[in-house]
Amino acid sequence: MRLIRERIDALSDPLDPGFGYDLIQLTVPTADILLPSQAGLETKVDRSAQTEALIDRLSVRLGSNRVRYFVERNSHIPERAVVECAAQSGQPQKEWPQETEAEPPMRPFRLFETPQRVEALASIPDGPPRQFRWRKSLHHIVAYEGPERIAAEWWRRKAGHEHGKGGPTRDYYRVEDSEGRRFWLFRHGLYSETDAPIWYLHGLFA
Amino acid sequence: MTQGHVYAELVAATNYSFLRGASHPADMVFQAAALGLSAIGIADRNSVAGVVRAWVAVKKAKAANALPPNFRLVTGSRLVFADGTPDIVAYPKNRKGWGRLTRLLTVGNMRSNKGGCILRFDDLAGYLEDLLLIILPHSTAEETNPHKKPVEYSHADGGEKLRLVEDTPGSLDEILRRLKRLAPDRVWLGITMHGRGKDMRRLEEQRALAKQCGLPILAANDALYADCAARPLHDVLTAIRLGVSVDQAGTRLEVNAERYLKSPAEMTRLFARAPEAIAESQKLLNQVAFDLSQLKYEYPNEPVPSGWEPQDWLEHLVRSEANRRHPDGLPPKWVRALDEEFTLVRQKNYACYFLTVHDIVQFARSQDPPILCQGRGSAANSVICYLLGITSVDPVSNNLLFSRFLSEERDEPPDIDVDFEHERREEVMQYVYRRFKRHRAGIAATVIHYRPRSTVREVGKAIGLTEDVTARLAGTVWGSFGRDLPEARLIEAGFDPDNPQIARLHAFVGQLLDFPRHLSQHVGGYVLTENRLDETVPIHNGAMADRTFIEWDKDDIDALNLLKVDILALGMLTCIRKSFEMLRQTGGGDYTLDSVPAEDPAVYAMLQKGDSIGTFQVESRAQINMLPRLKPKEFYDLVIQIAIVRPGPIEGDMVHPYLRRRNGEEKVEYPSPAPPHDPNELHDILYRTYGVPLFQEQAMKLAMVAAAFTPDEANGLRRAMATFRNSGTMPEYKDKMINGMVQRGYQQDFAERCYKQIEGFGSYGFPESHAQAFAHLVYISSWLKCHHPAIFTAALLNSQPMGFYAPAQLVQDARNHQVDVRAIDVNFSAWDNGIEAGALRLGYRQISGFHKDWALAIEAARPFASLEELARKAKLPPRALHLLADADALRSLGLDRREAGWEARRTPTDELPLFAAADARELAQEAGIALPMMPVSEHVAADYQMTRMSLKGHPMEFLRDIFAAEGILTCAQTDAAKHGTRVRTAGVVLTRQRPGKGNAIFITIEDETGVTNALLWSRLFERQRRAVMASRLMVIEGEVQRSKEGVVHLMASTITDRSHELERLSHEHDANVPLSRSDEFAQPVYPRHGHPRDVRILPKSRDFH
Repeated sequence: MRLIRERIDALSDPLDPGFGYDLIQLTVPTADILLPSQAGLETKVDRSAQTEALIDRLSVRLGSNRVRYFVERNSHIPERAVVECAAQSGQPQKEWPQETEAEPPMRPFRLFETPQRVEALASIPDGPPRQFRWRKSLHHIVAYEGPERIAAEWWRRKAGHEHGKGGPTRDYYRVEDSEGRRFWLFRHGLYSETDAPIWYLHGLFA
Repeated sequence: MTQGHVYAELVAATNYSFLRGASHPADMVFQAAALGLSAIGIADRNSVAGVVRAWVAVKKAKAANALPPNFRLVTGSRLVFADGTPDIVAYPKNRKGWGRLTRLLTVGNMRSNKGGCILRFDDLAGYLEDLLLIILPHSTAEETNPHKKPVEYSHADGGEKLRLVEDTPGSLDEILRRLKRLAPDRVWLGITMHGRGKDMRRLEEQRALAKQCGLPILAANDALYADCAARPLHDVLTAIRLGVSVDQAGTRLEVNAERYLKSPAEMTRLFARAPEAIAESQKLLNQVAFDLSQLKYEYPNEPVPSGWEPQDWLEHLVRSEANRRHPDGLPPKWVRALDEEFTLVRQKNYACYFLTVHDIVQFARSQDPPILCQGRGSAANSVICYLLGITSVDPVSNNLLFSRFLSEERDEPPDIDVDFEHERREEVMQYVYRRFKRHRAGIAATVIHYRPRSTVREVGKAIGLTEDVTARLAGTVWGSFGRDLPEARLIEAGFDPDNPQIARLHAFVGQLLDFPRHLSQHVGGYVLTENRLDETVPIHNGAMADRTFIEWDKDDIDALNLLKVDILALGMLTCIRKSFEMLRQTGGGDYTLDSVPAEDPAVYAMLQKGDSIGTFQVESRAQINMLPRLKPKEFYDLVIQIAIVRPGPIEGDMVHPYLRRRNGEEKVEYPSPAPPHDPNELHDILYRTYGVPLFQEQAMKLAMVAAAFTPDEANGLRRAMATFRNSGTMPEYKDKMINGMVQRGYQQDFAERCYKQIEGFGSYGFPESHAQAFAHLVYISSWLKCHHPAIFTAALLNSQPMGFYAPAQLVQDARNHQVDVRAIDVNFSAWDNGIEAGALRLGYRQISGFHKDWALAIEAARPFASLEELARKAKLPPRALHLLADADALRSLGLDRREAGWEARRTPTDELPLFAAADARELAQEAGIALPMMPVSEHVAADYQMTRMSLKGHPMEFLRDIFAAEGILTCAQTDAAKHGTRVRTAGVVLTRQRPGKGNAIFITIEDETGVTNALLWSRLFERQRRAVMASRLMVIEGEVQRSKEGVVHLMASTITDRSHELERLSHEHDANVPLSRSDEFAQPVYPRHGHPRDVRILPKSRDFH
């Protein structure tokens, strides 16, 4: 009943019933008996049930495609590690890894859909970037951490199992420029894999 | 490139960390040396299984100057704890430390199921003296199941100090502090730089932590493979371990390829901020003074009575036996032989070894009834073994070479193998555990490697191929011979080798083949020690109850000079014992292995006809074909008969010359060298085989005499001959031998054939002593078959599974020998097949699924007049009644199969108390129901389904009209056909074999008239692979070939699968004519890595439990 009320509320505007409705007819094609569940004296409140109820309410009010969440996927590659989908899609949501206290997050929340190509200056062979140019402005890097080395998923490539054909490995760095902005950059390809690796900006830290 | 940087990688795993390490031990070692590391430390997960291989690789490479002289290998283990303690890599400082490490691992192993190890921090605390410990900051433990019924194992040795139990430390911090307290100066904190993003931060944190605790930090790469190119393979291994496909494994795969062996320069660069961590690797290394060569070995002293020295006791035993056998004084030849052996045994200090084997054999003989046993192999060369009763061949009168068994030049332990009855070997094995206690006795391991079938299946799954694809591929992998997966196989199975997925599969299968897969126990090789065995090598629980085995296999044991006693199982011994027993019971006489009448002409007459089904060794098709050609007349001919049908003589093309000379068609001559040398030098070696070398010993002596090999060289040749794995060294000897012989004036052609034969021995050859020992059993089994065919067949059936033939063929053969074979019947049969007034009465054991206690109950409650009485008196469950009915075992109750089935279903088995009290019939007499008669064809089909044989007929009988209409001949007609006729013959498939190099496939089919042996060349086979491999009933078209001895072969050209015809026999019953146990398609035989002696004609016949 509560959900129907939400739905009616959401409908009110475009329909403009003027003096109101005389009759609203509800059809219930199938019905199940909802047995009341007894909460134990000492049982804790089921948080996930509360979340689900909220998702249901929001989805009814806003449209099921407009309430979305992230689902973790099993991959090392950052852009494949999470996928966004409708909250009511039924994809199970796993627990997010808990960040260790007093440790900064390793990955930014905001990723570019397509990593932005940047020009960067870095020491050879696998040193950190010193400065990079993104959207015409030059950023001097004053602090960095890394690399976080992520190898390509060779099984997605045709002859990926052969040495050197598995795809370029990425070296991710968390960097901070002289103005305190934090970026997530990566070098695409080790020097053993390519002569001139290209740098990309993959995300921004808040 | 490595100037100035000195570094040793001390945390490296090999592929003996199963499904984790992705490189062979030798590859790790060589890569480490090539990178300029000063040392490599091999530490596999809770195991030292791979270290001997690494050690052997280093030893060999150093001997060949292929490694820098100061390169070191240190051996230890990575301790993975079950209680959350982080992994700790342990290296022994010295021999004592090694003992502690292996005992610690044994403690964990004994708690766990086979293959696992359950360790707790407290265990380490008990054994950490003389160990150097590298703490890795995380745990890689996975769940291991504890053993449900751990064997009694004594870990205590009396030297334990009382100490407090260490609970599990809660944090890394606490571990460091505790270990620092328990083992000051012997603990390091290992730090890795794997490109995880926070490496630097971790490094600083851990350095600070270590500093607080007063511990040094150590740079390590925790290498899992030698080269970064192995990452895809490692991912596949991980996926196999997790049981998922690679793309599902996701984050559980390693994130990058950094866990390869890195050069000192690279490690120094990675640890630029902590150079002390690099330097520490040398400091740790300098503390390790242990090398596997320090493992010294002592044989148990048990069997020696107190007050005696082992050698004196041995001499006393042997000499008193010798005097007993020769009451008139020892002939000089014996005296010489004994003196020679005793001197050598004393010199090598092997007396205890002989006494131990003697002790085990004594045990077997002292049982009631005694367990038959007989030594095989090179031990038959020894007079001591003969006189101790270990072997049955008299080496003196047979001129056997003692040096083949033991020699001064050869610094390797002798090898005594003893066969026991296969059904009772377990008693002997348990005796060994009892006698020497489990901490001093262990079975050697066998490393199970990845084989084509398993590899295709597992890799296929890991790269995401569906099961139907991998099953199809695995199905066509020719079980026996594939050591790789040729593209042709892929095409044959209908796959495009260029398809990316298939190409990938192909590539990984190639890489994974020959990886160790898991450890299993050797069939019967025991290592026994005077001191604790678990201070030399860790001991594991076997998969079978009450078996414990060590972590090293045969090769490792050889490399470390440990002595081994092989306690093997031989089905024929069981069969002979059962025959003797039945003979005694039926008043046929009292025989033992030694008292069977020798040289009986009737036995040889039988063998000359090729009538040898069921006998030992000479029952294979190839042997049966050889018998009429060789025509054995005396015992020594049997020795030759066994040895000649082997790849060695066949590939050396020695068979035909031998036969021609034996039959007097060719002059017997001994190749002679050019004049300065003694022209008769080969006569002594070859006279017993008409100048043709057939035995391993002859080949060796030939090399020494004719090609002037030094004993050392001959020894090298023998080793190369003896072992598969060394076959790479054979070519070295080729030129040497051929040139040596030619130089001394022999014909080039003869020299080449001699070499060929020696090469053949490399794969499977028989030494003469071994052939002698086996010939003894051939004779006894043939004697039994000849004079007591009913008893012999019953004993064979009662000893199944063993031998070459399925019960159906054995019974058929018995009937061909006028043995009256009677069907199973509740009023007459016992569990075992038995003798009933000279006839063979089949027993309940032939009914698949029948239980022995039902059989005993039936026997006790006999006789029965009705099914109901049977059910009531023997208290049989419905299942037993149904089985008896289906097996048609109720005929004496006047019930045939169908009626019995009906009765069985209406007979209640829960007796009502009232009826029991009244002892009255529970069922009212019912009017007989007129069931339609069961056709004979259906009876036969049902017989085959239930008892794997039928006395009522042969399935082919009922199909004869169909085949006759097509002009297809019976086997008997084919056998009678003229040489060169083209015929078609149909029959059910008994065996398909592809011996030797696989040029030809031998197929044996059977119908109601007999068998036909067909030969299919492999080029024809490839085209009709499916028909050959899938048929149960086939039509063979080909040309009849008749040898001059009258042996008929069908040279097959076309094979047609007609298996579906069998369905005509019965709708209900599946007339599954069992394949003979020698069929290689159903039971692939893998080439074994091992001594040629271990390779038997009888696949899988050694080890039945």
